[in-house]
Amino acid sequence: MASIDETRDVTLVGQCLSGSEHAWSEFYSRFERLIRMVVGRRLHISGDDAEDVVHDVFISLMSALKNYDPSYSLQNFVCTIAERICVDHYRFSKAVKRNADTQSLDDEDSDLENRVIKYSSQILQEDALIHAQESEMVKLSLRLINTRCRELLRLRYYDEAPYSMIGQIQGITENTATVQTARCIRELRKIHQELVKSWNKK
Amino acid sequence: MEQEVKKVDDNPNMHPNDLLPSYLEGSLSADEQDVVRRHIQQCQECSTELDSLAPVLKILSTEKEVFCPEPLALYEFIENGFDPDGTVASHVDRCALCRSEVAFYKEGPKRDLLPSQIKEALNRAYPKTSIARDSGFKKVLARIRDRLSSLSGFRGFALGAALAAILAVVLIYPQGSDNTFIGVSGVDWEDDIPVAKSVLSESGSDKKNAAEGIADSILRKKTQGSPDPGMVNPKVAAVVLFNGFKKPFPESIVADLYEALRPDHKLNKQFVFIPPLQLKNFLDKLRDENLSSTKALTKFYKESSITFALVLNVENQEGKFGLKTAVIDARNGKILVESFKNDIPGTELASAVENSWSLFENVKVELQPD
Repeated sequence: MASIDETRDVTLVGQCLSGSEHAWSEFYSRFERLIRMVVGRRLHISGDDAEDVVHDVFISLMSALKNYDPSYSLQNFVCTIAERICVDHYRFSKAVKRNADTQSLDDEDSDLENRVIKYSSQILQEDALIHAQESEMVKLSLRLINTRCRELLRLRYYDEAPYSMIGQIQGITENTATVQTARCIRELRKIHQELVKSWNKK
Repeated sequence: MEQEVKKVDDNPNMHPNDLLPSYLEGSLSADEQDVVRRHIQQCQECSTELDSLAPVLKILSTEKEVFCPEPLALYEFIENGFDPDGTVASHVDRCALCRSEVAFYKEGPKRDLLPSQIKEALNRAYPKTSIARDSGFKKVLARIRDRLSSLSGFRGFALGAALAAILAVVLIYPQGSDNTFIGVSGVDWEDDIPVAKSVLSESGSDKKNAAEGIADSILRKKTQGSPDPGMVNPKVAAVVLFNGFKKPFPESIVADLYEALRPDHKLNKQFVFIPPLQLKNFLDKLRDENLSSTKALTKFYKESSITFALVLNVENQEGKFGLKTAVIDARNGKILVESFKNDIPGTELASAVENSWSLFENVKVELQPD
């Protein structure tokens, strides 16, 4: 039997799909901050730029909602759509940068210094985007690795604990902690490589 | 690690896989670094392994954010306290970024109104059909908001205390003991649409729409209660119930809620609507019988041959309202579809009520021939 929350979600979705502005206001109020969090984390943007992407997510949800499967939580569905829009935005940004780089120099300002500055900032922006994407891949790899490895890596690289302390916490010797952490890093690297490979295929 | 380093030093074919991360971090002793370096210089496999490990290790060491919980996990933690193994709470305690995100989520400005960009997209996706209805209902809603605001004395209210001071005539049924009151009102949906009179004062193309609205209302008056032969439109009633209020609602507010429920032209073509006045007249006759609200409504549905009922339960929620809306098959009491909304400010109650008829779109009508 559906819980009250599930019933409410289904009812809200139904009302949104009927075009009720009131239902969409409620939907917006409920999920705006979650979507803003996703956009901020994935694209590392804020302010007006983030606002535009948040709006794009809601506009996309107007058609996507009809595919909502009530066996999953509504917030999960909203997050998935938000992530998808962020990926689209990231790819679009990459494509824009790529096209800008292929423009003929004759189209640019004749002032060489300005051209250098312009291309430098473009390169910096592209670097930032690439770096953000690599971080996201490592983050995703951490989600996919087993719990024990995630914990070891968190102790070592987030808490910056020495191997002796990791050993104490985990109830193992310092040497074992070092070896196990090293193996977890390699496992993480393997997952990361597979993710990068499948991402580049798209 | 000394043993592993010794093994590598003694056997050139032994790969120092478990030592590579420590080598990259520079946490081996100088001698140990030398042993591993010499091996890497001669081993393509380990050199490649090192190159692939380096960027991952760099991100782990420098980008603490990769350990932050996902937005959905943070959302579940904030909204529902969901954190089965305590890792989210523990991380938020130590992570300034996550702490600021949680703080912004909880204390930042809450956006309740749809931005214009989204509203425009919504209107494109679901175009409205009648400007006359919208502008008229906006005036009704504005009137209701003003009344509810005046009850509290300020927009964000203390409705309980305000209600205690009200001495207006009360039209609430019944006097029974189940603490649920039926809101009754003399609102008659068969009257001319009030919107027509107000819209006439608008200029330009709104006048044309107003004229069409008046024509439709005249047509509706002619056809209501006298459907085409052979066509059986189900009878529908709307009932507003009040739960958990110590003091009754003023009649004017009850009337405005029923006014906000006035069905539109599209619904009027599909159903025969029993106006609130008819419910009031029926219940007035039952006053001496002292029935509970449930029994009184059951009797009303049966004797008035109601097929469906839209029942709105307005609940007292400590200064705000809860609204439970249900479409009921009045023939057997079965709930066909429900919706819930909690923590509605008084100024938004009418808006919440106005959209109740949209639940009917989910109802499949099964009619029995007369």
